[in-house]
Amino acid sequence: MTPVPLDARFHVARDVQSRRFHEEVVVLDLRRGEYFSLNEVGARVWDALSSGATLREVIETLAVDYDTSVTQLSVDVLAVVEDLLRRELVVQGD
Amino acid sequence: MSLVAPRSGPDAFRDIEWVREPHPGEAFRIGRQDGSLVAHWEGMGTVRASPDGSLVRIESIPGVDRDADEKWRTGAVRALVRHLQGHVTLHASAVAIEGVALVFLGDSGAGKSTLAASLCTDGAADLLADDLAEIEREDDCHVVRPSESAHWLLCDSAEALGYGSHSARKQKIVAHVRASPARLGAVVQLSFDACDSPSLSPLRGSAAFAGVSAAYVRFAVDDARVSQRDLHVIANLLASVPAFTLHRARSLRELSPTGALLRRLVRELATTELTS
Repeated sequence: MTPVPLDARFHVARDVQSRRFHEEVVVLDLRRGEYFSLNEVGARVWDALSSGATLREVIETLAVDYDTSVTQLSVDVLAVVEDLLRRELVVQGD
Repeated sequence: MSLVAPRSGPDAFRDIEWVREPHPGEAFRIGRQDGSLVAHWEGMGTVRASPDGSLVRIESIPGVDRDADEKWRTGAVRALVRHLQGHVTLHASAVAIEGVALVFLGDSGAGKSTLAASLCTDGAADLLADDLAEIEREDDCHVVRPSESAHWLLCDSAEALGYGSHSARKQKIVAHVRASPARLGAVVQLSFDACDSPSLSPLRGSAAFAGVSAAYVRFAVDDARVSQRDLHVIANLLASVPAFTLHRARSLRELSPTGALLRRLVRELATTELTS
């Protein structure tokens, strides 16, 4: 997969719905009828990406909130974003 | 909207596009034929319905047991039609304790019917549902409608609760039933665990969704609009009703302490309601 630039923005793919369940998010891919669950960090990433934040903004915000290094968090957030892109649940671009 | 008359004989199941094949151990599948939804239960019968559930045709297999046929028509068939019409039915038992409904979810064999029967036999509860719980949104809360009037218990459970039984089949036992809907207090997922005494733990997040979703009776599984509606219905339910996992050892001796635990839960839910 092509590296995702830190200034990239994303939007939720067409025919994808999501709902928050407490700290987590359940994502429904209507095209395939499949559900995905995002844990607390994944849910924070999903909410931020859905609201138009760049990847860099997501990482910096979560690093503050979870009191961890940007370097460490970048690995985790990138893994979530790449998974969402691979499953076509989010699309890169405004 | 018209409903095409069912075909009969060898043609009955030709040209059906099955969209949900039976899971292992099940004898139930769903498909589409000539614009109608088709659900077929091996050994029971077939239901054809218009996509909005406004027209329904039920065909029992000739010679099927009368009690079983009635249970099928008022249970599984009704649940599927309710889903088409936008109503929620969970594969669950449900009781009302002091006017508060508890819905018990779990896989087959998790003890849903036995737990409900135990509570009702003790006189602590009234039955709302043995197998299929009907949930409605009413004003600002969810309620469970009384939908079934009998417990269906296996031999060992029936004997343990004082209903003599030597039948290998499930025994029908007339229940103490509630006459009116009860406000839904909690959803309880049943789990057998190696533990000394029964306990409850909060069930949250995607695990709560997975539990309710697994119990949610659906007719169509390949319709995006219906899947979208189902997601929001489950989310709204779990946003307003707490969910718990009930852990207890796999023993009929655990029924009594489990009942006491659930009565305490209801009292705590009532206290929370009063103070919130």
